[in-house]
Amino acid sequence: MSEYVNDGLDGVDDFDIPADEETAFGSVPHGNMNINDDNNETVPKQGFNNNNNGNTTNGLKPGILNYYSQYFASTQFIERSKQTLMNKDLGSIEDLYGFVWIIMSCALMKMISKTFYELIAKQVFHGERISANPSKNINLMFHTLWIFIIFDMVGSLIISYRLTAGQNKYVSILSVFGYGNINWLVLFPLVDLIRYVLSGRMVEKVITWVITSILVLKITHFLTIQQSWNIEFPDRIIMLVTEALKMVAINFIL
Amino acid sequence: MADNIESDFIEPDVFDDNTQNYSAQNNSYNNNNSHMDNPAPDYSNPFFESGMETSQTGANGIAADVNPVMKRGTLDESVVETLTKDLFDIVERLKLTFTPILGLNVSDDEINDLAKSCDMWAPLLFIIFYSLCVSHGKSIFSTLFMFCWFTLLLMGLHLRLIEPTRKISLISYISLCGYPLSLQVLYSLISQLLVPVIIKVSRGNGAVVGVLTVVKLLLLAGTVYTSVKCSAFITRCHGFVQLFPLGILYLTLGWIATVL
Repeated sequence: MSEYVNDGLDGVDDFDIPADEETAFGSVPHGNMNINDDNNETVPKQGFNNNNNGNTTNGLKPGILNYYSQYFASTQFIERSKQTLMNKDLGSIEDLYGFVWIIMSCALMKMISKTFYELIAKQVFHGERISANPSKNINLMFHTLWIFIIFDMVGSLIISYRLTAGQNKYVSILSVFGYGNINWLVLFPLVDLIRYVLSGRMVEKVITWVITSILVLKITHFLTIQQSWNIEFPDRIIMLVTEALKMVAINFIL
Repeated sequence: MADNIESDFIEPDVFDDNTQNYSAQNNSYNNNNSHMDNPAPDYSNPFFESGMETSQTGANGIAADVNPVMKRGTLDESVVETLTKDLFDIVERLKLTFTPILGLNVSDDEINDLAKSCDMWAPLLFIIFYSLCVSHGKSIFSTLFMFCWFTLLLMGLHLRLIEPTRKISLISYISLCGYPLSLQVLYSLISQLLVPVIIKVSRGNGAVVGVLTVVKLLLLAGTVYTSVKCSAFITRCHGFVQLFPLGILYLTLGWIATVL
């Protein structure tokens, strides 16, 4: 029994259970069934450390859900968000928590800010009822999600292919791209306020494009100052083009 | 060794001459194979056919092992009775879920049991009610229905990934996060049914519309806050990093119910 054979199922048997957490919930629940932990002796001695080979984590393989927990054990989310806004180097991070939840926040922010000003101005101050379509809001959210996810993933893939030949740094690059999106989270309410106030005027479009272009330059600068990457001039161009295309998609579709 | 293992997991049914019942035999019972000669089943026992364990007394007078979670044998009871039992179970779990705002005294064991005896009936009911309220029964119902499940799945995945050492499965997390959805149902009822009725009664008075909109926004904030607080209580999450995604997702559902 020295070698533990993983059963390939996602479950608690993939990890060593620390003593202080073992009694948190005494058994593995499966619907209304109660499966007691009589077989705890089969729990393998595994941890969460990445062994840097990009394929396994102490025996866990990418097909198992617990494998991805190493990328979501973020304890410095707020600090990294602040560093991103101040254009500082994040170092070599593998933090998909930031990537996922900043994009989700952007989608929610876009959905809220698109109707919030109208709700406040028309319903609260003028007493007129507005009728927003929930499906339109959900579509707006999904459009925001796919724009951010596609452009970030493709951009990271190209950069990863160019910069790290022979090394798998895709997750690290994707994490930094994800944190860069926090700039959009701040900008969306401002852009939607400008759009609402200056609705239908030429100046609205000009201001929107200028502000978003400045933001693209800021994000590109943030990406290029990451010292863990050996960035060359063509890489900067790729980053700029990726962010610029994202901006165009956001301005036209959302 | 093999016999010991077998006796741990296989509980032979023993026909009891005294009680005229089949009962599970525990390990202390002196096992022999003579019970196989009396295979006549007791069809009056509703738990027999369903194969569920029951709290009957064994042939040696010692109570058989009882699994409190698997206590349901529903084949011989009426549908109404089964539904009533399920509803009472949901109400009990709701009480546990809202312990932080109800101020009840709940032990850790009860919270542990809540995670063990998770069900998907309550989340399903809440999602159906929520989708009905927000969609008003129109074609968007299916979109909202899928969106709610996707939201719960995201919550479950987040909690599963952020605390992989905790002994709770993904399906349990989905169930646990589904219970605070009852607040979203309540909010959508107020927002989509009660508020329009009040506006109609007031004949679209501007001041009433304005005040009700502010009330709706305040209720939304309260709903999201309470949902996150209750989720944190039953899933034992703490800290901004763990609770932030839950807040985002509950706010998304609340906002969709607000803007119609």
